[in-house]
Amino acid sequence: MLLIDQYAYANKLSKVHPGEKMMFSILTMLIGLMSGSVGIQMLLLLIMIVVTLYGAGIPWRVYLGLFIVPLSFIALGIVPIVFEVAKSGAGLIYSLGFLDLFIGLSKQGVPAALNIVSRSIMAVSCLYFLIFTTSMVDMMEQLRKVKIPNITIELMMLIYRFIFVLLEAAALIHHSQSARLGYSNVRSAFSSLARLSSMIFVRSIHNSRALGMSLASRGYSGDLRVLTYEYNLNRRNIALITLLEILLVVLCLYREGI
Amino acid sequence: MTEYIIELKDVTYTYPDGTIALNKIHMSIIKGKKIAVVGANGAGKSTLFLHFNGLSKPKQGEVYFKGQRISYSNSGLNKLRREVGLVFQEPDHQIFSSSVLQEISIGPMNMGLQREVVLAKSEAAMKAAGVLEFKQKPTHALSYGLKKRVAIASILAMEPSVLVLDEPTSGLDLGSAEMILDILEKLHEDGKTIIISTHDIDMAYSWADYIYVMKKGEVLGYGSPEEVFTDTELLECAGIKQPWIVEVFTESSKGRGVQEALPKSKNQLIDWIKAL
Repeated sequence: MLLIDQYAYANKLSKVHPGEKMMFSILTMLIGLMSGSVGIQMLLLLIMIVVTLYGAGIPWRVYLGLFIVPLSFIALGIVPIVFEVAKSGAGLIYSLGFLDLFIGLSKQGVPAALNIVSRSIMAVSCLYFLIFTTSMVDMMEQLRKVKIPNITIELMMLIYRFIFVLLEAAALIHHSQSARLGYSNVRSAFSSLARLSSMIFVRSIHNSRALGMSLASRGYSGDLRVLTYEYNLNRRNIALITLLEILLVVLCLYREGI
Repeated sequence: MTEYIIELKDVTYTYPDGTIALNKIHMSIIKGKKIAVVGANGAGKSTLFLHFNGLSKPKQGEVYFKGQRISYSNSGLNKLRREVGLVFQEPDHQIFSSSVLQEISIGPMNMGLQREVVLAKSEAAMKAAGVLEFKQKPTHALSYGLKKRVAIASILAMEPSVLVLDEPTSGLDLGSAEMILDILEKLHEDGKTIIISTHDIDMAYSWADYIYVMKKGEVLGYGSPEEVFTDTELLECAGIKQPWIVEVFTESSKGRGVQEALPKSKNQLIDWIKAL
């Protein structure tokens, strides 16, 4: 989380207009989701990996490390699709008999799972490109421009800021507990953790009150408005992205045989 | 005739649990002066400051701004808060935007100004507080000292005529504290009234034009730094030590029989010692 945030502010593409990056990431993801071809999805995945690692200069260790989380979710998710329990072994690629049941790899399940895995990884890579290259601040500003309701954006802003405030508070409490052997054995670790959680809750209420006062000091009237710097749209980038996306669409249609 | 910018008359404030936080406070803040409020923790300094811009409403008594009793209506408060900027002690309680520029623009944006005007005011405020080079930084990546300066800039952007700062130098290293004092000095030269609370009596002695001493929700004494910090009875009652400059000077000038002006700063004290 914090690592992603640091890269979002300091990567080779951080000066590129956030709208361009969002367009690239979202359009590519949409094309990939609409195409049923595993080949196309792998191609898109490859494009995203190349752009994120070489274009934005994200270290591959960090990048791969972050794939572990969604991959483990996907792995758990495809288990019930790949494996099937049936009365006969006809629909199964490979099966084991167990009493009068057959447990094995499903003939429809395996290609379906392959499709899901490739789709998910492709979509994750598109999102990773976006969050590694674009800061939340910039993204929220773009969302504001496309007329996402203000309340949503204000909530995003506060949640984003509070993640850091609470993380810091949690780290402080955790340190002070550890310094007094709060985590020396399982028993005390549990009770320390419980206290930490309740402290965080109290602190967040306290914090939000203080923030409310500071907002009131600056003439808050129910609408959070802030100023941001404008980025310059780069015609060449937009042309490149458009060209690439059109090419991908054509390739998809060709593969589908239209 | 002295012009009072903020006046408190008989201000009493009690917490919901009945604890008296402020007890019949009288205060007259002279326009364009540097005022320091000193007192032990829990003396009521922070609660007092919340009354300056109407964040707290006194249970009894009145607060006046520029001779007029402040109105606690929405428009009255908005007008007051533009004039009286309050910087909180804990910058993390104040900063909630994710980028420095956003944070600083909140005040002027709330004033309903044009984008260009907001940008100009924000940049001027960032320059005054020395944070212009960090304008694109995420706020959570800033050091504590920088956060304090960002918090000051976010108030300055509204161009208030009175700046109220709750412990502006607490928790800072000497360099950062000096930097904040420099910022305040420049604002003072621009004609702004500055009110701070502090535990650093040496700083308060050298910096302020006027001192208020508080204890348990009451104003124990007030006056020029020379008056207040030579009144040993008052200091003892408030639990405050004498500034070291005053202490060194009084101890070493004892028995000399000549009435001399107190040195205001370390350099003045050194000059005095050299001249002995």
